[in-house]
Amino acid sequence: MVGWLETLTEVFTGAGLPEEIAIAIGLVVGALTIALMAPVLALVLIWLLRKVISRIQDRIGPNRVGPFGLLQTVADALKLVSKETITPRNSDFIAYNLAPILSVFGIIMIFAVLPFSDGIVGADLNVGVLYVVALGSIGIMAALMAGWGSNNKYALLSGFRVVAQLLSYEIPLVLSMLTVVLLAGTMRFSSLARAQGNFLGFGWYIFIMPAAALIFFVCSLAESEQTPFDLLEAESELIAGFHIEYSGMRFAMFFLAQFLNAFVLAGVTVALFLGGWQGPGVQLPGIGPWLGLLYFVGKTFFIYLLQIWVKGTFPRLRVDQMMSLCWKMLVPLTLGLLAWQMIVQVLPWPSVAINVSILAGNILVLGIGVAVVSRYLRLEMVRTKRAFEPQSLIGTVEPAVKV
Amino acid sequence: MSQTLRKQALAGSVFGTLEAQQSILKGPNDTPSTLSGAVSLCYTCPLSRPVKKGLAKAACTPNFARRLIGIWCGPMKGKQSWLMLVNYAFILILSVFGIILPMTAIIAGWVLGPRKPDPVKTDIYESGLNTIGDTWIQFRAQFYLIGLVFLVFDLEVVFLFPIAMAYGRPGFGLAAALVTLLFMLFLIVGLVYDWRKGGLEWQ
Repeated sequence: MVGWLETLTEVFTGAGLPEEIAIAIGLVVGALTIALMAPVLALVLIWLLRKVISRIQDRIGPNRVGPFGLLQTVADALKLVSKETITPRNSDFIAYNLAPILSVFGIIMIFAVLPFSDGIVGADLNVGVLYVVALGSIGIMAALMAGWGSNNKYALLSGFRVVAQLLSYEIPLVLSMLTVVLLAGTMRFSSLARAQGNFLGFGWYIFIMPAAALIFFVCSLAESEQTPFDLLEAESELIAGFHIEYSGMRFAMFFLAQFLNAFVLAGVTVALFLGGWQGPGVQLPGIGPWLGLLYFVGKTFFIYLLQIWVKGTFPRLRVDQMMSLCWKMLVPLTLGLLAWQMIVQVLPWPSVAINVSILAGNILVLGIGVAVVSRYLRLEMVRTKRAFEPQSLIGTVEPAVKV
Repeated sequence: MSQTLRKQALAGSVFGTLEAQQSILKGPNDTPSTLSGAVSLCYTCPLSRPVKKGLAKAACTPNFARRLIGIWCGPMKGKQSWLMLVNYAFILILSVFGIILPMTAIIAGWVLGPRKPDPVKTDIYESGLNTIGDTWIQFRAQFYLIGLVFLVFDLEVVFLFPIAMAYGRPGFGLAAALVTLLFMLFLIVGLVYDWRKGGLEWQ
């Protein structure tokens, strides 16, 4: 099961160490790999975001430092190291300094359970999904601590907004995770990936429950504070959100946490709905696990690119729209999905019939979602047209779009 | 009787059992070892008695470091529980690195960057205006409402995870499924009530 650890232990015992010490060294090496991989990964993620966003906006993007501007992020990081870390007056010392550390900590810990490949899972916990949910709330706490400790009204206000948004979106996020757990009957990430290995490695859950996957994706956008849910750090309203008073390396830590969060949530999406490491050829001996690693990273970057695409396309939501979308649409829909799945799964049907019924329920939920959103958008269009009409004409002119 | 020996005797008498006394007072060659001396000196520090007893026993065993790791992975070589323990040991080690990594970065920034605070620089930045009054003001009650609704749903999820794990397994019959659905129905009713009462409207 813990394939990488067994391999490492064999190497170290081969070098003449006793078994207990070999295991301990193996664990330290594994943990160090994850901890050091995270910042390097963040450099790549930031570079990718800047390049793709500039292409979407018809710009070239960073292209001066290094080949294709690859070293631009390194240069930025070096600049941030050389900046002064200003502590605002009367700030709460513990909350202010602990917040950036905690925000990175919560994200790095989630890397431990991501199923990179068959046998390459840091800690293959039997409560993996619950572990991800639990650690997700550390980020919320860090944001609130940053807002509270900065001694700044904008930061405090933004901190509360962050908490309201992240708490709200955690409900549909967790409920859509629950649909997967209900179908697979396990919370272990490697077992979830194995359960999706049918049909030459294409028995992914997204084909059985597309609505749950879409809801999870939307919620992961909200949880990683990305457009269209980035009203927490709306530059024109709250300047930078809860990290307004942070500078230098402490600011860089929040930045790091944000990008890693996007990547980790993309990884969880892949593990839950896109089959994890599954794909054609992962059963082959020898090359299989490495192929699986390639599939997992490739799928995760695909989801990350999807997030960037959304970021480059959509405008920001209003706070009431954001809250309504969560509580009045995503939560009831996921609850409905869950209830439907519970009804179907208790019936004594063959698994194919169960899967087809779940798929039908998901398609129905997708249809309801699209209908509700399009109706809302039509109403909103009329409302904005009315708002821009001259006062004297209100009530006399017919709305441009019939509802 | 020298000072050290007196202390050792004191320690031995308090530690109680004869084996413990002997293991503390006598090193490998029946002479008071430096280790046992150190342990008995440690006795003056305010630790609880069982902790000290355990420490003293452990420190006198020949392979201390190996034994310490053995406490982690030694006694549970049965496959399942042993793997679980290793998994959580990995989480523990990673959590140490997860704290150290951002701390190192912040400390590096603090060491390498300039440090010249002045009153204007450390002032609170609120769009260039002077801040008025206390920062930690009263805020909207709406946040509390959202927090309360979240609490209910989060508790629900905590209960639903084990149910989802057990769902459809032998012994989980129709009655249990009905109870689960009823449980979910109560929550949906609660959500509808909150909605009708206007708790979800954000003004």
